[in-house]
Amino acid sequence: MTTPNFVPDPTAFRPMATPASRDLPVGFALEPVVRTISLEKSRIHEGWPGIRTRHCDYEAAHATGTPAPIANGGQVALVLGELFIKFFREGYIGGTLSFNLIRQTQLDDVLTAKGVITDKRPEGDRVRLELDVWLENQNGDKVLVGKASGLAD
Amino acid sequence: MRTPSNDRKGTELAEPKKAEHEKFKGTKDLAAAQIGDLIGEIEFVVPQEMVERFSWAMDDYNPWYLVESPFGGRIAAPTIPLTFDGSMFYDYYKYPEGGSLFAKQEFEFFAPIKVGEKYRLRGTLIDTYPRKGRTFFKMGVSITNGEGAEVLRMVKTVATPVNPVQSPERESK
Repeated sequence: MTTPNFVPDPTAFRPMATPASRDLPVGFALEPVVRTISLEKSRIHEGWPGIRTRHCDYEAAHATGTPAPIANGGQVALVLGELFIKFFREGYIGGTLSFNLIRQTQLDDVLTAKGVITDKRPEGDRVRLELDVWLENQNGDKVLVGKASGLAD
Repeated sequence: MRTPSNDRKGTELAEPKKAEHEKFKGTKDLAAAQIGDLIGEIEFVVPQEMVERFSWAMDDYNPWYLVESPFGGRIAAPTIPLTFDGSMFYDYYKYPEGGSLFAKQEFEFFAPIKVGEKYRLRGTLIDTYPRKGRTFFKMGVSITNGEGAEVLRMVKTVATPVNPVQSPERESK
């Protein structure tokens, strides 16, 4: 099944200007990824109106004790996943990603995924880059913190 | 592109209202959880519809997801497998009265998850420990492809306020 009226547009994709490379130094900051999870985007993610969850429907949110829908942690994690695969490209295979969600994300929060190289070491004929990664909201509060690693040539 | 309504009032529910604990089917008491418990085993396919919907939801039009990847065919975004183990824990264990928190997720990538291919996901309890008045449960998840090769390993940690089980206190994990 194809999503109704969805038109894939690969031209809308912008690769990261500086992807992973063995030459990048410890301390290098990745190009951030910025995304806003609006009610509209949350509803697309959840499959509304067929599926009504506390992440996309006011009544469902009220039923679970929250005054308004809140972002789904899985959708928040997609922002981190975008940073991860844009940076490491094919080198995400052989890589790792871990994170803790430390603060609730409200709808319309502006999330910025960031990362910085903390270590690099040879692995076979490639180099493993270790990263600290995190998501911040528009107030500069961290909502997710984690670690990532991947392989670079 | 089709645009869903931006109606903030919400309308009638497709299903009767349910509290969080009523959404799950689990019956096994968490206090009796044993390391090695087989929490669940499912087969899944990442459908094209899901990949398109998530791309649209995130404005992430990576051609690897929508057209072709260097791995041959289209692949799923790295964190999409979260969707498939999300409810598994509490479809096995009874949801605790005091609620539950998602604490941590870990991934180890061995091969991409390809759109439209069949995978098997198996979740087992691999650790449990008390910390700061809560009990933490770690579910290890292994995803294998049609040939039985492991393509992804995940660990999901959830925290509950149920009484700590017998295990040494740890300061950090």
